[in-house]
Amino acid sequence: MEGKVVKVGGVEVNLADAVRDPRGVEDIAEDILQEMGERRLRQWDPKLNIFAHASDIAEWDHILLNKYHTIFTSGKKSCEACQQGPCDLSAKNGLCGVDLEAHQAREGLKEACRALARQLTHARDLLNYAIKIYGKEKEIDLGPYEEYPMTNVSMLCGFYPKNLADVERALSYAEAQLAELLYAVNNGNESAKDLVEKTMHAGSLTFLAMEVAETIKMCIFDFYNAGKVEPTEYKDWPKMQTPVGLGVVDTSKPVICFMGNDFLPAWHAVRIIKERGLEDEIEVCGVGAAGHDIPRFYEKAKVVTSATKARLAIRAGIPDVIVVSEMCLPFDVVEEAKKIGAKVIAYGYKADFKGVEDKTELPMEELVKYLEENDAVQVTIPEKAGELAVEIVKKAKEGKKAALLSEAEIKEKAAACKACDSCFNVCPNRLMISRAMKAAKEGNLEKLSEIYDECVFCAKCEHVCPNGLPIIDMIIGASIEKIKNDKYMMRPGRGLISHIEWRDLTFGFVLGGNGPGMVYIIGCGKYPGAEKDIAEIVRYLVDRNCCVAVAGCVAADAAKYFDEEERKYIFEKYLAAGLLRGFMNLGGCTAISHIPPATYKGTMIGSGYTPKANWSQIVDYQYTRLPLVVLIWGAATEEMFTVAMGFARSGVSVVVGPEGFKFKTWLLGNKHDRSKWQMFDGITGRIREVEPCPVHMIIPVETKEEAITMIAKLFHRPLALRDPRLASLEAYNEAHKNFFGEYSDDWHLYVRSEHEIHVMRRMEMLRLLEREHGWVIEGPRVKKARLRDGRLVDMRDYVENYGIQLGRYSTVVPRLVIKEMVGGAVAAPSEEITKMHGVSKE
Amino acid sequence: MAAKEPLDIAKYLKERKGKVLVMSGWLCEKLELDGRRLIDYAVELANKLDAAVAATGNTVNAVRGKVKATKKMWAAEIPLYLKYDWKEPFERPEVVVLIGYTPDAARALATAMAGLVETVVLDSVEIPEATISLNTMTIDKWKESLEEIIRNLG
Repeated sequence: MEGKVVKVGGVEVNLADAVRDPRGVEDIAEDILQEMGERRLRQWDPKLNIFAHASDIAEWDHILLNKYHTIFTSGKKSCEACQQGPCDLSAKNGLCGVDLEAHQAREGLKEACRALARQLTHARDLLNYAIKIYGKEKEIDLGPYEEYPMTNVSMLCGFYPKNLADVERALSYAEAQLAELLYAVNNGNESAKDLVEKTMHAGSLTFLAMEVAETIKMCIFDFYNAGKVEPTEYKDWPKMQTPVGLGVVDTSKPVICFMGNDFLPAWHAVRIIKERGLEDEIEVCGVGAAGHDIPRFYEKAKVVTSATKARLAIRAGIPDVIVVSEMCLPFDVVEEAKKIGAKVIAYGYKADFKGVEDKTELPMEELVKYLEENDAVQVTIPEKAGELAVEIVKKAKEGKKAALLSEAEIKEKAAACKACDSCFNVCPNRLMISRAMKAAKEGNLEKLSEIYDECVFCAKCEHVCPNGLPIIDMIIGASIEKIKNDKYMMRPGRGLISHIEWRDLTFGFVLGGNGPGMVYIIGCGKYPGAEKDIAEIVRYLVDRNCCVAVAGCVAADAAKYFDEEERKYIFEKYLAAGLLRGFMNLGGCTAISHIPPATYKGTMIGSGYTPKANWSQIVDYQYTRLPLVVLIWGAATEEMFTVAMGFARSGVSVVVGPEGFKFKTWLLGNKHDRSKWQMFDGITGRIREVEPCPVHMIIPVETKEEAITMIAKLFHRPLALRDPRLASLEAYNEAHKNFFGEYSDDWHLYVRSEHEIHVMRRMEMLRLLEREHGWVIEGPRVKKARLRDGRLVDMRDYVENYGIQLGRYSTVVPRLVIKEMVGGAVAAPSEEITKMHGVSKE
Repeated sequence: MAAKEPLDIAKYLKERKGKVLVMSGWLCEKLELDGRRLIDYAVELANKLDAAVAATGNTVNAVRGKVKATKKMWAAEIPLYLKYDWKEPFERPEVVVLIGYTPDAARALATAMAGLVETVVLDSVEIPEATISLNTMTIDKWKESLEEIIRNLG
């Protein structure tokens, strides 16, 4: 295709060479090329993915999927996707041509599309509302400390949005992409690999949708936003002001509890409460996403629990009025609310509940009367939903029923348990409920109360109980003291991580320093063990110089630790900044969208690349250098699966708890296959063998000890400098030895010299290298090391043949091998490049 | 149907003695069947089958020194190595026995190992994705079934 020729300094670029189809995006492409500058354009040919389709990022996706094996876990062998089916795929392909692997990959793509749809509709609702109120010209201003606004958008679309019109352009693009992905769900001609690429694309688009929502929250509704706060204040900002837990809500007052993804009714309810001076008379609390959003604009808000435990909040009798919007983990809120006599306001067009009527058009007085006479009502205008909640809450309190079972009632009901263990067999945490029932029958409620600590209140047990026992109510009734004492404090979400913090972090664990890396913990509750495990994971990592940030419901659970000695909650125990030993709360689940931009900042600081539609260039840098890991410890929701795929595509490894065995796809690297662990010397194009790292992109683990150890292992990056290499290797060795009583079978693969082994265990490890791996050690020095092909070589040869020379520019992307040195000329041997990935330099 | 009676499972495993790998999952340490930990069943089973134990989760600490061979492994990696590179200190198995995994994890692992090895899941829940599993049953019956399998391995 003939394209416009753009001149950047002394270099001419034909837009048709840089963009697959430049028509309609010439202005964006030209801006990006000018920003890249002459020097970069001399070094390599630009490839821009402006308004990217999945296949526009194939260059990177192919590299990733050639290196990591996709392990599919869906056992479904029959396809019913179209009218030709069902087709049994266990022995041969379906009528449309789909094979079993592609069918399994489709299952993952389906989940990802559903998750993306939820986030897109949420973002669209907020954007439409913002445009309605402020118009499309409303400026996007994330503050003076956010230099690069909306980089999830810029990575896919090629520009930083300046106003709501720009945001709408980006969101419309993402909505159109969802339609394309949905088409692929039923198209039989694609390979499993193509479909996994599309699933990763859905992950990237999900970040974009979350980012739109998060930006509107910060720009339009004044949510806490670190971009507007002087960085010197970060260490204690936002203040420790948000109470967390079931015991923090004053149920002697009328209580409005917001659930679901949408904060808008809460925003208006709070506005009215403030206007009427009711702050001390009405309790405003939230569960799940809304629960984490409200404290970002209302200092008196309280967070009750995570979305997965919404049922617990209701059964414990906390709310008088529940305002609910669409939920990530839906359940029958109206039926649950009836049990305690609470009123339900279903907000929005998506919160459709069986038998709940939309009465938005009624005047407020009649609306109040209607809700007094009925259990629930649907209201689609946020101002009205918020006002109704405030108007009705005092009356609603009068109609509340006693929520908790007495000890005598629990004993009586326990007597009806026949120990069929249907409950045990559906319980995600394998809790032995029948044993607790037996004890309760005999008057001992202790075992039921023990179950409370690990119960996720999913109510599957009640659902299958042939005797219809209210098992959840019995567990709650046996745990009244625990509920009363469930009182902690946290910092509300702060939004983004600023460019300035990343400068510090870069010196802490990229360019030097003694921090092993940065961990983002996200998720929605429903943990394999107790809630307090999350706080233990945080403490372990922060105490070892990691920087940890939480986002989503997990933030409230991480808060559940109080240091008796220091008399501090976990959020005040550590600095609230992006520093080594820092611990930050980014916000509710849309705040997950701050994580990829934070990593892009790391790349910008190190490389100067601007994150605009140049996926391979940015992600190659962070994948090979930045020690970043995401931990998803709780529920394996569709959203979590989708963002995990998105993170993997962004070069960030993901560790997921035992729920993650349900993820439809794992992305695992084979450390034994040396052909997979190679990079290009960026100057000469020579292929270099490197350590197997990061060894996995998505891996489920079983215990928190496994999670910590795997995180430490995944900090390793092939281009890490010496001090960070030492820190990550020590973190791995320490965790493996402490938790499993032995060192791993692969730690030696990450050693390039004795200087990378922590001084406290250096001699021990050197002896092991000598004894178990045949290295030659003299005193505290390695004299000869064994290459992976078995050759014993002196250290000069070892360094020459294994790993990348410290600080040397290298890449996993063939195109990014420098084609022309500025001031000299070096051509890359393209034969080797072609051999490595089956992708030609051209 | 994957579900089999304990006696049939014992017979099946006995015929494959020496070709079995036992995978012990995190629930092995958590669950006690009326006073006896699930990990003790895993160890006894491995010894009767002359099998090594791939100890996943934190179970290696409870298995070490009690079976002929064991190693700390990661459950999700096992299907990968079975498929591409088995370089463990014990022979590549023909049959993998899973014990101590949640039904969801067992389903996923059995699916991931399908076609690579035969899988036997000894949980109290039927796992159709496995080659063989126990029926869905009560905790008491599960304990009895495990004991019956072990007793009949000779």
